[in-house]
Amino acid sequence: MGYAFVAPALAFMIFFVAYPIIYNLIMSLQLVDVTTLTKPDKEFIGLTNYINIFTQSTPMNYLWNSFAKTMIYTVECIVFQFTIGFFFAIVYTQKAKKLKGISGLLLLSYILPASVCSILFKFMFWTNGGIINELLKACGLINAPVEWLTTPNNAMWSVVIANIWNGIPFNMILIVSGLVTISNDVYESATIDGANAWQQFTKITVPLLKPAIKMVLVLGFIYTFKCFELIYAMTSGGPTSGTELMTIYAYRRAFMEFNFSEGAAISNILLVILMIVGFLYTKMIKKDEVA
Amino acid sequence: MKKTLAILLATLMVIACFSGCTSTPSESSSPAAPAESGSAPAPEAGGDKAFPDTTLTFWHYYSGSTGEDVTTLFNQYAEQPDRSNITLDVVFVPFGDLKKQLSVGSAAGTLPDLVLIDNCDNVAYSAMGIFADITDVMASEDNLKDYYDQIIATTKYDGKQYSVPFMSNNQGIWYNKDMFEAAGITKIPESYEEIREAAKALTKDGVYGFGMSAVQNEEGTSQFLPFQIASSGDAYDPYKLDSEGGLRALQFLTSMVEDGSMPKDVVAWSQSDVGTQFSNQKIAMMMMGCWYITEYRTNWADLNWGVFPIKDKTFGTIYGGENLAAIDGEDKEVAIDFLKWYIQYDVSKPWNLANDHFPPRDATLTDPDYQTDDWKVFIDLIPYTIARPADVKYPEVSTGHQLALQEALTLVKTPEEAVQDGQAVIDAALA
Repeated sequence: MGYAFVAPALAFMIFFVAYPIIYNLIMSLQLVDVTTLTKPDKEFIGLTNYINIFTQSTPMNYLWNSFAKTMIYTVECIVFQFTIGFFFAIVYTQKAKKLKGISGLLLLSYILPASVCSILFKFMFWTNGGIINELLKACGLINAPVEWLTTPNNAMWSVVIANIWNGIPFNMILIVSGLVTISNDVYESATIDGANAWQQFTKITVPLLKPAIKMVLVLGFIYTFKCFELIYAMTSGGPTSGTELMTIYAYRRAFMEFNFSEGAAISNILLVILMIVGFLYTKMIKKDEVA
Repeated sequence: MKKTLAILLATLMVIACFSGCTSTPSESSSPAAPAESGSAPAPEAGGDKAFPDTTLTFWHYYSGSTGEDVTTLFNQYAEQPDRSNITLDVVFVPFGDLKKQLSVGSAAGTLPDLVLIDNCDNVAYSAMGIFADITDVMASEDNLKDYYDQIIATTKYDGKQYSVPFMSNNQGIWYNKDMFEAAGITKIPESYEEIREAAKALTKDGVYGFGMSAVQNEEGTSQFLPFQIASSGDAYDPYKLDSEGGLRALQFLTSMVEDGSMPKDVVAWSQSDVGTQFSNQKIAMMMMGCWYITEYRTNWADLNWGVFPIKDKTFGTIYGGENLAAIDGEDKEVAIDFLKWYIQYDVSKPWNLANDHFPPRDATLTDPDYQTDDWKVFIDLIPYTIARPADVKYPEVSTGHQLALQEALTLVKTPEEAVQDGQAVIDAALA
């Protein structure tokens, strides 16, 4: 009887999770391009696809470039999204309960589709006439307009800012859900004991929030690492591959340049990285449970 | 606790499975994940029919009213008395998904009967073997022979015919007549130097003289190639970006960025962004195809525009647009019959004209409907219009062009260095 209950879930996992992963793995070991995609017997070429993407060097190694860009993008996004999300979570749960209604407005950025968000930011970041440069000029912070989308570094910041705006509510909601589990009694007794606000924050809030924080960071890392549509609609990975994350590189090789097996190989490398993160997270959780 | 969770999960899964089973056929008709389906009711069968009852599925990416128009067009086929037993299922697949769906569908064996394909991607899907080889059945079609060789080249792979032209376009330089007048420019530019001077004179008060798309995808390449063609003349070779013509084209475009008359933002502008900049009068000239004619005449009636050709050693323009292919499946005979019906001038021309495109054939050049001020430049350019290479390696060759364009127009590298970098990508792709 027990197996019958588990069977649908197991079938779902096999069909929708295991099968695509195995299919992708096999494809990455074959020669699959436009001339072989529909052939039943595809040539097995071992690790050639992986060797190609690791050794390709014209005019740069796109794998390393995309890996570096993905790491930069992910870390920058997480740091700001988490910090700002944490701040808003504290503000809306502890200090300004009357503002609770407004917190709903913050969700607006989360419910907007990434493609809409990216088009909005693309307009906002235009060098001339873009609202960001106009605002910075009006505030006297810049004399000449900033070329947001036309240099690789600035373009990276532009997509990071767009994603931060998009992702803050996600961080806020998860941290709020952690914050509401902390009993008010703890804070009351700390106040009686003479603990100030900072001490309460560092000695009570942060330690008790640790599981929620870990979850936010890990989920945030995974979601950000595999980000695609926001950047693709904003910069298409440019300029000069300055915002070409691993997802966009894989998409380009597979669906724009029709080298499906190299696209699969890049996706598998991405998968391995995310599996390592997931594995570390599980280990961390287990350690906490034991402790 | 674990047991409760397991039961909950299992229940959810069962519900999900059943809800999947009870979905309507249109909802479950993946592979296309169609967002809209424009199926016409099946006409009644009877009399002498050319084919047994068949449903032809067609994938396209026209949204809105054009999507409705294409449904109407396709259903005209079934209005022929001896084909009234053919039903057309016209399915919308978002533009960004169509290529992916075709690749995935070909691996999964779930494809439509007819599909629209960008003419520069035609070759890749022909090579995949998903399109029906129509070389022999089309050999005697006079309608097809009437098309220009360059557009026919986009429908072929390895010497075999795999599709027919559906809608075709080419490009020129659009200019704002009022801005030209205000800047005191009375002569239409006829060379790169004159375009550059005009762009300088037009750049003021937040308006740039020139704009184009140089984004890191095929849209960027397709706006650059016309300049390379114009600068190369007879020596044009799309695989030789570092040729004299390729370098001169890139130098010309870069010089406008250096002059400040073209913004560096063009490296992030899609073609639709360029069109918006022009209609908002933020750029005085733009590199663009003929597909904006009706939109500007209808929605931007105050915009006073004209078009002139790109010219250096020769005229520079390329074929854009889509081809129509029959999938190599069970119903391919009917699908091929549809292609034959479509390439009749009286069928394809009104559709092309209504959508600001043209059938690239002799008949179009003298058609009074195309002899208007709006169309003249584009139609006169048809004999000079070049197709992008029908080569499975073309997308990678295009990546080289995009790299060079982006490096040069952001002034990160000189045009000389940029064409070398781009050429290295092209050489690696062809190696």
